[in-house]
Amino acid sequence: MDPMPYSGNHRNAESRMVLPQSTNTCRPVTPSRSSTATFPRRFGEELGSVHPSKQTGHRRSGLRIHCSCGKAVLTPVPRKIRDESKPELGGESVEVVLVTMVDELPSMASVMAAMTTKVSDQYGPLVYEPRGLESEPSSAWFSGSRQDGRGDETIRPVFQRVGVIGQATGSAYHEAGRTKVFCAVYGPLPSTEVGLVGEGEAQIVCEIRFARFAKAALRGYGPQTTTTAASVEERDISGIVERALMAMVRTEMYPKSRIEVFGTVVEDHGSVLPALLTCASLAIVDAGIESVDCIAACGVMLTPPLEPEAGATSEIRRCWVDPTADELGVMDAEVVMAVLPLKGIVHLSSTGPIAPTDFSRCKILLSEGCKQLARISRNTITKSMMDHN
Amino acid sequence: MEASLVARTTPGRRIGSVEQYRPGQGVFVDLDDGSLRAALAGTVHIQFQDDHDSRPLVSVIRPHNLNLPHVLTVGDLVTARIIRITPRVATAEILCRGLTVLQGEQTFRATLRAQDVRATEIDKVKLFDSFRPNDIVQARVISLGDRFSYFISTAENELGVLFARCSTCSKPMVPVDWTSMRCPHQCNVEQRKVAKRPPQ
Repeated sequence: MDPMPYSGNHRNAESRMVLPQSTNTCRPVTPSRSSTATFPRRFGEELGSVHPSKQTGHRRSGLRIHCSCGKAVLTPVPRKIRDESKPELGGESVEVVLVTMVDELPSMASVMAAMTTKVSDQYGPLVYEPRGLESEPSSAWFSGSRQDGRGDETIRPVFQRVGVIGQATGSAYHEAGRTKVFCAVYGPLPSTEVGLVGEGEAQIVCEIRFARFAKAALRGYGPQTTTTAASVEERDISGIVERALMAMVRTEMYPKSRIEVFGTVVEDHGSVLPALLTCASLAIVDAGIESVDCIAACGVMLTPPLEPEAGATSEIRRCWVDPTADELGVMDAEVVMAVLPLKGIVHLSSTGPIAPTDFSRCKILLSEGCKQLARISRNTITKSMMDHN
Repeated sequence: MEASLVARTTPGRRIGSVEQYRPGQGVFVDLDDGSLRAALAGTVHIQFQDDHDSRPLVSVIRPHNLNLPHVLTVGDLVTARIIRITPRVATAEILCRGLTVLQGEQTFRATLRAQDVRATEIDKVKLFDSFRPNDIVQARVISLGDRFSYFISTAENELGVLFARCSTCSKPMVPVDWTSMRCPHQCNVEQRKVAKRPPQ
């Protein structure tokens, strides 16, 4: 079939390559389980290129496949680009932006296979040439042991300090492994705006921001990041911390007041939400604001099912407590829980598919992790009081 | 008689039960099991009092050099600065609670109504002859008010203007009696509701 000249109209049905079994409604794609490549890719990462097996003389004869947002599937959109690095392709190739969002991630091999088949229809027989993927974890890691040698249920070493920011009413610093968060609390301040809570209670206002260098991918300055407004993730996390603190603080003691909580993530190496919840509650206690208890929060992640070991009847998913950012790269599901040891659970959220049996396992591990965090927080507060007396 | 334990406690720790102690500052009653728990991180103090209630008072005190948020309650003596005057109502901002200065750029607002200026002849009060903007007054909180401001009152002898500047030369004025103050440089007498100072 004579390949159609690329007209630049990527709404054209023929130039649109749709992954098999994937629609915009995010139905799960059954993956082919290979031990090497079932993990989400990073935004903008180049996955490889597809080029014709033999030169056909057409100028539009190559495809470079990029991944845009490793976890979202929409439809690949071909985009014409100039490719000087591959002169044998005639100096021009078509870039396909593949954005995937599936419940279970397909393996890269199957994605490439599907792409190649579809693309061949239009451009003639093609060959997929995968780019060297340095970030691909070795199969040994994925076989079940954690990269930093921890046990499945061990939390990372925690360092906490209160009273780190002198000008704030209360403040705290929390470090878990490489994840570092600060929190400052001001209050009770006069509330000047009309809020959603009644007059007889304090209003808690929380703002969490990530430093621009906090995540592995630099969120520097560029056409998309020059706004200083909070991103969706920041606003989401701020709301979660705000609601958890409202359960913790005795707001009836501070009528007509506003308690402001500012959190800054200095480095995000996994499990940032539990770290922020714990840190914010420490800062509130340091501020002398009456509270019911201290929040202890923990996160747990589920790996995709591994190949069953000899003798096992079914695939199991490992539960790893307090995951790091690298481990979250292979995650299938993540659960975060925050408790007030006196009152109970104040926050429980999960991402990804979890079976009920796995969820009960997670909850047990989370309670254990939260108990450890609670003990650590109490020790930090007690020690800080001794420094002052 | 007062005894303080050197027990340091964190929020949520159980101190005792409602039958044993009376809850004081920094302590709350957990309604699920009737226990008294600490609401602050600090040391537990027990005060034995010879009241009709035989239970000792237990409270949690923060170390003195740490910040403690100040909350205004009904009956507090406050020092405020008058901001705005209308025929019926004066608006003030609260500077101090008792002897503690309230920090921060944003201050709590208070409303002083005409009928709360003095105890006698309250319907004949002229607010312009009682206060002027930028006067420092001593007042008492009489109500938590609405979302935006407390209600204060100066209807006592010891409450009223503590410090005012002359409206012509801006020098501090000297009180003459409970209704007027005098500027020492130009001898202008201005009307204020003056606070009665203790005799020096």
